[in-house]
Amino acid sequence: MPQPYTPTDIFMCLALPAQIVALDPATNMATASVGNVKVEVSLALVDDVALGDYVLVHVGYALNKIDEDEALKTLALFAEAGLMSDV
Amino acid sequence: MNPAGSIHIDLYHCAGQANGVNIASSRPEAATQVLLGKTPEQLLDTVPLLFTLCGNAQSYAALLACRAAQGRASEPALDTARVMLVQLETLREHAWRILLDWPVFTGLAPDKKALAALFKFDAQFKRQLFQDGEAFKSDSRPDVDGVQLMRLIDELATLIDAAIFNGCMADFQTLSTEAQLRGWLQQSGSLPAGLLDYLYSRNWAAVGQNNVACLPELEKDALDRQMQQDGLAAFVRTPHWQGRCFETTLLNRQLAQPLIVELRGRYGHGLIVRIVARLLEVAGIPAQLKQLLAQIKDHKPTPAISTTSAGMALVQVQAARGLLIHRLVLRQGRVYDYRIVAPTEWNFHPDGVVVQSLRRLQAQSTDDLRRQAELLVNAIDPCVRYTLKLIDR
Repeated sequence: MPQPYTPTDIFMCLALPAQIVALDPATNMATASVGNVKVEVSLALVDDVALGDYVLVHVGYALNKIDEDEALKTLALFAEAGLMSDV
Repeated sequence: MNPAGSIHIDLYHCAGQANGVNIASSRPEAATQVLLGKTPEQLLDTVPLLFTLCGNAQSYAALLACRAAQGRASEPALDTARVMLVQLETLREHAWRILLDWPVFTGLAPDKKALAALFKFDAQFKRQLFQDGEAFKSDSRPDVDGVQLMRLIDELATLIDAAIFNGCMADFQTLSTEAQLRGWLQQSGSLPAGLLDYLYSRNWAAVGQNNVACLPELEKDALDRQMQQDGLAAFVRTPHWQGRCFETTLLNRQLAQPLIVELRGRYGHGLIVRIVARLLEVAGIPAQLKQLLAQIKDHKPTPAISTTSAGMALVQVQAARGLLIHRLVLRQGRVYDYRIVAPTEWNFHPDGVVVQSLRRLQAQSTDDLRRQAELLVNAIDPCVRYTLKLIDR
């Protein structure tokens, strides 16, 4: 079955940027960090992801890379909305 | 706390026979709160950061809302280019279901490579339509390279024909009867044919039939009256129209297709109708993109609806999963109120199409019930994390 939707997912198309903290080239998987939460993500849909990059994550897949400035602005927006209390 | 929210579905049953459904959600209604107090320009910078998955549809709706609330003139050519980007996004979202989710239902491996290739088209289209690829700003400037865009559309069509239709997309688009569909299934050897064959073999074509109608076109003033009468927060959470729940999915846009007309007559809004409707929409998008490209040259008006009244705007845009509504109130040049009604709110309403579909499931076993429910939720396609729990009672 398709996996049930996973954390850092989307409501009304919301998505949190996550920073890549570990890479496994053999499986094309990575560990991404959103605040204190770490999630496993597939890199099958994006190219050239490196440690420290920010990606947007949906249902276990990194959708695209975003630059650090944009990622930090987005995280600040979520914090402003009170949506980052536990992450 | 999951910052993006989630939907929890409890499906009650006895040995696979459904006897109740409960949907609960944890929803981050605060998301649009961060838009309050911003200028229209700041709003347009913020929306794409917040709403990423259907970012083109959300950004387009926000742009239309700002323009209408400010009483600025429309931009027919630019808007047509923006509609192209929303169509492209719709194709990508459908392809996600087809290439990653559908194979798993029939025991095949997801086709991540084709979907990865599809993801790259968005940036390329933006660069060939707008200066610096900036599509959704109030000062966006067109920079249309028609030759390159035609090449891109042809590449896109070739990709989906190969990855989704196994080279049989043109034949699929000519189908107008179920008998022809069955013939195509035998010959195409395509990935969707596997899922459709599976539904037929299990006698599940009509699974999910329900009495929830597709949402009709909403007249803007009447819609605004309804939203205010219900209270804006309540309408955003549990929208309805004239006292009834409605469905707004891709199916609404495919109702006039002859094949859908015939299948609906036999299977209602069962699984097979939803699967075929998704395929029809996908197959039709390259031709739609070519039509829109031709319209850019003719400056014909685009289908999005907007209205303005003393700094207020109500906008409706067809996003991948259904109707997206944005309502903006500007006061003294800043956002005073902002509401977004996503299609998931209509479809996963506590009395909506998902609940009504699940409630009628009568499977042979608990495993079959779970499989049917997962197929249905996938076909109606929430834009949010969901969990499905089967409870025997």
